[in-house]
Amino acid sequence: MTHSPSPEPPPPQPAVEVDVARSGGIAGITRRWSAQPVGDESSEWISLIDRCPWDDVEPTAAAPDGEADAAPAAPPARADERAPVPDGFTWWIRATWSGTDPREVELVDADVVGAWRDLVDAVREWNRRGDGR
Amino acid sequence: MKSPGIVPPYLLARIAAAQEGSWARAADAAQRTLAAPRDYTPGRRTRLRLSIEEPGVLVAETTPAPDREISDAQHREVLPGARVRGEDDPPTGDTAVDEAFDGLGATFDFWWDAFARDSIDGSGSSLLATVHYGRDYDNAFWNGERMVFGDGDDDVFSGFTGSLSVIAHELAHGVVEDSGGLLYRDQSGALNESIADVFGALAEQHLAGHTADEATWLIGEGIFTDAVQGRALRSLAAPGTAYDDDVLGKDPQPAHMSGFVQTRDDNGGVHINSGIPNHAFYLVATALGGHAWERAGLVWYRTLTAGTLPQTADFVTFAHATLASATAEYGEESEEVDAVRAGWVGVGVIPDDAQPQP
Repeated sequence: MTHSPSPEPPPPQPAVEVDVARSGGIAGITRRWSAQPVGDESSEWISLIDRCPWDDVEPTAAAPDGEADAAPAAPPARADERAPVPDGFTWWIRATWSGTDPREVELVDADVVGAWRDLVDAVREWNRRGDGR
Repeated sequence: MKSPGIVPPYLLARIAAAQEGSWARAADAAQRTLAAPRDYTPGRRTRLRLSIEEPGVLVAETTPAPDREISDAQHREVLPGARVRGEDDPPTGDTAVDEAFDGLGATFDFWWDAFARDSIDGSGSSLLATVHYGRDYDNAFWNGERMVFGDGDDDVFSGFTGSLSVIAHELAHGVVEDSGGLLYRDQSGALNESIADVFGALAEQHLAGHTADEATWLIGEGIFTDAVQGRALRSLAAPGTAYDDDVLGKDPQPAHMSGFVQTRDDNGGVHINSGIPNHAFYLVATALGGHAWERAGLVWYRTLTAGTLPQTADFVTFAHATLASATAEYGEESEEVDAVRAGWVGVGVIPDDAQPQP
């Protein structure tokens, strides 16, 4: 859509994809955003991804099997340990780039702060540039 | 709690001569009558209400009054924000502040008039709201102690305080919590959502004076921008038909167990499967007719506040609990019990030939 597949071999820069889904809210409408930066943009995105505390959040049930084999992190602060806020948003964030395992977390709205917020905002902004709403 | 005073007919004549400005005197007289000791908590806000119930009888009563406080988060995501309007303050001129204030008042009146419930906790708790939360924040939620309203992003939502059903929905989450709570996940979460929708819709009907046949049965009418193809967030009358938009997609609510949605999103689809109990309530209310809060609403209210509803209640458990409440309130052979049973049968939660559990 925003970048046409090239018939040539993939460029040396890793291909990055960050997907965000926000479910819940009083509307109960799930919104999805995705960023697939290429070329020079990618390294900025990887540092954005690296600043997020992925290991502090327990992998979600839908995490790929490969991740379950990874060394377990220290006792994680589970997102669902705090009671869900009625009508609060739930965020699901997944980052993938070639050569690494995908990373995936689920967060309640109040936890989407700091680096998480920067990443989510970047994905939504990237998406906004790509299409209308 | 209610302490009505019957004012003799001659006073009504004075009221009738109100053109001369003697309304004030009549009210004053009624007020003096009511100066007698009352069974109210000292310090509790009350107000005087005058009404004509039968020809020639003026009824004056003191009722609890709301204690509202609106704060402004000033586009940050920090609660509570700066206090901008209290109960005795005049309108601020800020639309969101004043709409939230008025909506809280209408919701308070609904709970009192319909069920003699004094605020969220039944004991006159303050009604707290924060508006202008976050930047382009697309949501309204209940954080356990206050209602929080974003302004919307102007793409999808134009704001949330303009809809009384939204305000009353948030407050109803507080009533659910106070009544023992329903776990906000899967079927119990969908019941939590449905109860918030039911009382949200009823508060709006109460303000408009609508009967079940006149009501829109919509939640959040008017909060979408003109760019969105849809009337509201949800419809109790016809779940699944509230919107159908090229960006938002189609309203995913089922109206029957045959359409129950399994999903990890939204705490197990609490805003989706709530369509099923929502529609059951609609079927009960329209079968009974009249003001929906008077009978169908009372049955739901008694069920919620009986103190016997488990936090993990599923649809079937809740359906049987409403049958028990209707039986206790109206008797086993009543049209109310028949309507409640038919409502749950109609959405496929209980089988056609089910008998109420003992």
